[in-house]
Amino acid sequence: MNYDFTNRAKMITYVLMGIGLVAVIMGFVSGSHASWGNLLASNFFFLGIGLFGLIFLSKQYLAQAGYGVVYKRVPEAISQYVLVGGPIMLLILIGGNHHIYHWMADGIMDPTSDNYDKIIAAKEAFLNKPFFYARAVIYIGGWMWAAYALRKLSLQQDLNGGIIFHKKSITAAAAFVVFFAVTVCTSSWDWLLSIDAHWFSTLFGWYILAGLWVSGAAVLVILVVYLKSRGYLKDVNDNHLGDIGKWMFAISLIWAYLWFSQFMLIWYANIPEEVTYFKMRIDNYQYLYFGMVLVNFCLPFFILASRDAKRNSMFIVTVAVLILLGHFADTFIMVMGGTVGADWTIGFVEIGTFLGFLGLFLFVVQRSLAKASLNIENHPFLEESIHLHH
Amino acid sequence: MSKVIHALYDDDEKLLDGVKALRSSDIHIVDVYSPFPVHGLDIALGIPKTRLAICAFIYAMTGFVAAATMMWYMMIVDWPMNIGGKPSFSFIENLPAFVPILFEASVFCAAHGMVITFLLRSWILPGVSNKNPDPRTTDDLHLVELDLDDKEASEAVKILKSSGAKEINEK
Repeated sequence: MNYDFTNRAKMITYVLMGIGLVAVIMGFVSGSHASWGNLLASNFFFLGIGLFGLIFLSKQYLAQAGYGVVYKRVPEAISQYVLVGGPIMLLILIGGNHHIYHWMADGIMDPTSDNYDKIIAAKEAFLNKPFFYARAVIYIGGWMWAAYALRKLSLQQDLNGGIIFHKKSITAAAAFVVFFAVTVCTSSWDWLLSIDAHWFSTLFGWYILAGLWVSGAAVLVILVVYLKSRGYLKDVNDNHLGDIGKWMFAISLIWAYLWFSQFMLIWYANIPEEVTYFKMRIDNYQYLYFGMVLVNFCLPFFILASRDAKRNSMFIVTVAVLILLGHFADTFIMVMGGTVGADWTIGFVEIGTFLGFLGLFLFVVQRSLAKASLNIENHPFLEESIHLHH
Repeated sequence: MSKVIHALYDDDEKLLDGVKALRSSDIHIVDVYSPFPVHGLDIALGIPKTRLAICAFIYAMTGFVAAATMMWYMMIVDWPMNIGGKPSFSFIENLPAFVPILFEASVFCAAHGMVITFLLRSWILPGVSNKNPDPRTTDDLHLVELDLDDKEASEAVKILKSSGAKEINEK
């Protein structure tokens, strides 16, 4: 049974995208730093959710796990955003250059210039434009290949059957996981960490990975519950929902662990060049910053710890929505703290840009859900997945 | 006269069928011994959900509160410490330094408390004699133990036989 992408649902995504377009134009009229920052934050957030789709599929294949097979089309559909968000990311990096990245400013690496910055110039071997853009093309190219290949193999398996496509999927998943393990770190250094080019953190890549993983799990929960309420995914039961809830719970804790590890060491050592990053954000984003930590850690910890809460769709969707907002706030603070610093606002432009990308994301996901049957066929673990119980 | 029946199965599917059949005709099952965890056996036996998780939460909170009190007394009250070059002498402002200990103490108390609770609840202690009715349940056989009066026993034996029990011992 295919998902029915109704005209009303299409209309909603068009309206969201329209709001986004107006917000972006309004943003550029008032100032480019904030607008490029907004575009980067929103697109990176949804690109990360797209990448979660690929992580989820890959780990299912590699671990020979059966539990997620009945709703496999959903992470597949989520992963298709990489095909759209990837190229948009490249455009943002090209257009945003020195508006987002201070190290791209003219003369910053030139000792004779007034703009010269000794610390940034010392990082020229890694932070230079040709290498930066070449890396971006490689990351995005690799991810797009994985999104295309895993989807195609999965659809062919449904049509033709046989173990051969499953084995090919395992190979593709293994290649993606190795490639992604490196590129998720390097891409977050490039795109987010280098906004504050003076500052560095060695666990930044894992922190970003945990953030995008838990946001993706939250989106997966919402989509699965939505599709079930519309009468699709008949084989999905409370046990499947509980499993995605466990991901949301566990990765929220990993995210909090990494956030705190990054914060505590720097807080303790109190070295000026390291604390600037946190001091700036805590001083200027006070309530948003600690509010985000509360929502992303305490809320899932206390609410999702119980087994029954993870199986209650109302509960879990509410937590998922709050987690998504919390992690968007996290991404927003990371980007805006470096681009506009204390001059941040949350108004129509910021919310509108987010809604625009939300519309685009929902459009891409629903379109690919409508393209193929939501009922999986010929998957070797399908039986196991249908009979899942704990 | 009550009778103890030991029914042995060599297949976990047959065991599940037997347990379900017994339960549907309202025969009380004392216990089931199996060499490995059988999927769905808890549900088939109607065993209520474990309350160990609630204990874990209580133990973790105990550890958390104990560690917080200890650090507050040691580092703030009794001998105020200058932590990380920030001589605020306030518990809340020094909280980041205390979080790892709060975490470890919670995990320590939760883990040890759960193990000790489990051992006490199942009465697995040094010097306690073996409750296993048949040593073959540690190898390749599943055992269903029943304690019934004569009338029920004959019915139970019928059910056990039809579900494929390999061996039935009555005492």
